[in-house]
Amino acid sequence: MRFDSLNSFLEMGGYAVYVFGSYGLTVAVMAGLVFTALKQRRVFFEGYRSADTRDTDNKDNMEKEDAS
Amino acid sequence: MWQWFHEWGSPKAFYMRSGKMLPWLGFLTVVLLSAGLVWGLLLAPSDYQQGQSVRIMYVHVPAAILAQSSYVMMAVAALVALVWRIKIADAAVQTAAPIGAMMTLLALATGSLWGKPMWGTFWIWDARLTSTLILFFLFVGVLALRSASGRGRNAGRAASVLALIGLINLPVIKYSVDWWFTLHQPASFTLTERPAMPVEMWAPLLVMVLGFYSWFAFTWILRLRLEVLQRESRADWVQRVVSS
Repeated sequence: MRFDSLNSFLEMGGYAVYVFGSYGLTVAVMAGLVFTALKQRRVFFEGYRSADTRDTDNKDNMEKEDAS
Repeated sequence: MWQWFHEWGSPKAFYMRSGKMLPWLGFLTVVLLSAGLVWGLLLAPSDYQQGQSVRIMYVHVPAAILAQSSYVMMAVAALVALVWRIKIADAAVQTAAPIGAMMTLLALATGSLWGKPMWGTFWIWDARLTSTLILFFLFVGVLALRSASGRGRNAGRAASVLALIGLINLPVIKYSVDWWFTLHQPASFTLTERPAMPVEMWAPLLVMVLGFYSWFAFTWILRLRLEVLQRESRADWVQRVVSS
C-alpha cells in the first residue's frame, strides 16, 4: 500500500481528477461494451421467440430453403 | 490446419465451441483486470517526476496497445474474408471495428487526462497523437462501410479493403516517436530490450495489458456470436439455440 490514509488515496497527490477520471472512463468503456452486447443479445432472443410463436409455418419453409 | 480453418469457419461450430470458452475468458478477464486495478492504483510506486499521475499509465498504455493490436486482428480477419470468402471473417471485421474504435478513443482520452497535468495541454497536433486519431477514423470508416454494404454476397469487401490499406498507419504510430520531435515518450515495452521502468511498475502494467487483451477476446467473441445468430437466424440450429 502506497497511501497512508484513505484521504491521501483520494487526493492522489493532487491528480485525483486525472487519475480517477482515467480509471472511471476505462471502466465505463469496458463494462459498457460488454453490457450493450449482452443487452442486444437479450433483445435478439426475445424478438426471435415472439416472432417464432407468430409464424411457425412460415419459418419451417424458410428452413428448408436455407438447409443447403 | 485446413481442417481447423474449415471447422472454425462454420458459423454453427464457431458458436458452439466459443460458448464453452466464453465463461473461462470472462473469469480470466475479471481476475486480471481486478488484480491490475488494485496493483496499479494502490500498490505500484509513484514516479519521482510525475508523482501519482503515473498511475494513469496502467490504463492508458494497455488501451493504446490494444487499440493498435485490435486493428491488426481486424485486418487479419479482413484478409481472410477477402481471400477465402469466409463469412465469419467478415462478421469478425464488422464486430471488431466498434470495439477498436472505442479502445482508440479511450487511449486518446486517458492520454489527454495524463497530458494535461504533465504537458500542460489536453491535446497537441503531435505525430503520435495525430496518427492515433487517424486510427480512430480508420475504425469508424471500416464500420461505416461495413454497415452501409448490407449482408449480400459481396458486401463488406470495401470495408475489408479499407481495413487492409489502413495497416500503413500502424508503423506510422509506432515510429512516430522516433521520426518526429514529439512530447510523447517512447515505447513502454519492446520485445528486445528490458523495460526502462522498475519491475514494480512494469509488472502491474503487464498484468493490465494481458487483462485488456483478455477483455477484448471476450467482448469480440460475445459480439461475434450475436452477429452469427443474426446472420444465420433462419437456420435450424439457431432456432434450437434460441428456444432451448
